[in-house]
Amino acid sequence: MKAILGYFVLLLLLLSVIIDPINGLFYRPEKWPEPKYNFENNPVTVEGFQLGKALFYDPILSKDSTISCASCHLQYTAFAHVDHPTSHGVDSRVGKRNAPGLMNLAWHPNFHWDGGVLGLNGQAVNPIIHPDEMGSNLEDVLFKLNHNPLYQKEFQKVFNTPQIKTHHLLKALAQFTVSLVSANSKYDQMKRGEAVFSEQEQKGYNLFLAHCNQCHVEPLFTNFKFKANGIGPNNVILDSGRAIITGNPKDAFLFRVPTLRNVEHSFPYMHDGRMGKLRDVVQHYANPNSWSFPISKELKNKENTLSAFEEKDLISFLKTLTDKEFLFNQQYRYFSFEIKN
Amino acid sequence: METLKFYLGSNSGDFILVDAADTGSFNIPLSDSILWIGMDSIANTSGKLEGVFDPLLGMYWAWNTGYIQLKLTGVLIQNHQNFPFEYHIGGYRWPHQTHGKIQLMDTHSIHVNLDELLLLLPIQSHPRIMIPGPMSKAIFTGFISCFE
Repeated sequence: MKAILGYFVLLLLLLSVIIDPINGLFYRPEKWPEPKYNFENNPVTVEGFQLGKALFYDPILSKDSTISCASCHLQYTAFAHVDHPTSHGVDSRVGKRNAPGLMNLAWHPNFHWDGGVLGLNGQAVNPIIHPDEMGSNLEDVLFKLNHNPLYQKEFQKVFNTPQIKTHHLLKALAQFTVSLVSANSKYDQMKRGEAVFSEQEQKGYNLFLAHCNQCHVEPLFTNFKFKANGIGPNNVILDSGRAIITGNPKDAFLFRVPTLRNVEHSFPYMHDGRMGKLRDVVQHYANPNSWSFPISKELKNKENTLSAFEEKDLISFLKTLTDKEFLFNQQYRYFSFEIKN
Repeated sequence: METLKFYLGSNSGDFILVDAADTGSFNIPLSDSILWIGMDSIANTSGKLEGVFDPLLGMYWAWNTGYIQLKLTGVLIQNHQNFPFEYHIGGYRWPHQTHGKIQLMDTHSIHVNLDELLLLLPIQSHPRIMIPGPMSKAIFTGFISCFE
């Protein structure tokens, strides 16, 4: 009997490590596709997750210790940046693009609005060295970390290394960011039979299926492709999007289809943060008169006009993609090794 | 010339970073008469980030994942005038891949004719090239032709 009980406890412990979203670690929601992230190369552990989280919230990564990842990626707004159309960094410098929300990154084939970054591990180099973001360099960051006894100890624990190197730093950060899984919105609960949509939400869902889901494919609500959004180049920031990466003029002004999960909270919208309200975006896509620039064929080839009622229905569905558990998950909150919390 | 760094690969897919400022990097274990200059697309996108792939080495393109295959910086002095130049040459997407084979006549030493290379660089017209593309590819092809 005792042995059985022992196994049971062990099983529970194992389960809590593998699939329990409460401890904050990565898990694969039921019926979701195979993640793209290579977990074999960087297995997520409790210690690694904590270390990544501490680094994520620590301005030590910036040149003057003023900016952390969380400066532009705030949990309560799905790790997006709501105060500003585009990100801002050291010396109050302003970047070119809207800091996107961070969630379900394990399924991303590539990163950034232009898809230029091919792996989550390497992504973090960008904000660290970009002059408009953290404005630092890897030498300085590694020097600071290697002279910080708290970090030295934690890196030793996670990677069993006396010297912190670039890949240790990047893998630690990725253990935290890859764990940011959002899959418990009302929509998810409805799909699992745990919640029922209101009539309005259901109508909105039907509209979504008819007009939006060719690009915003379930369950991740993006197909990860690069599409023309019809808003045209920004007057101030010239940004040709995907073409910067491929060098192909056909890719000019194409940007990644963003996820719609937690979209209610991740305003402003579009790659340059031009639109402040969800309604603005819905109206823009539904109304060809608003297209000042070429738009993707998925929208162009369809009659998308929505009545004022339909707009409201669609928005009420989009709000079912809000995942409160994710936005307020204690495990994602500010953490530092110096301040025990 | 201030910087001359490039990736050298063996047939078995190992790479080393040759740095003209570091004579230690000149000792290359040669076992084959065929060598590769630059990395193929697989190595560029492997996401290894360690050893010769460490972004710390200043050869990593963060915003457009991949590696600078050939870094050349310096100043050309001509008719008492200074012409600074800066070339970050790389790219693995077709048709602008910077990856090429060299056949060695002698497996004991490799010679690179830098005078010839300087003549090939478009220092007057394009003193800075930092992105993949036809210009990058042309400089890379020129660099390979300087191996004797």
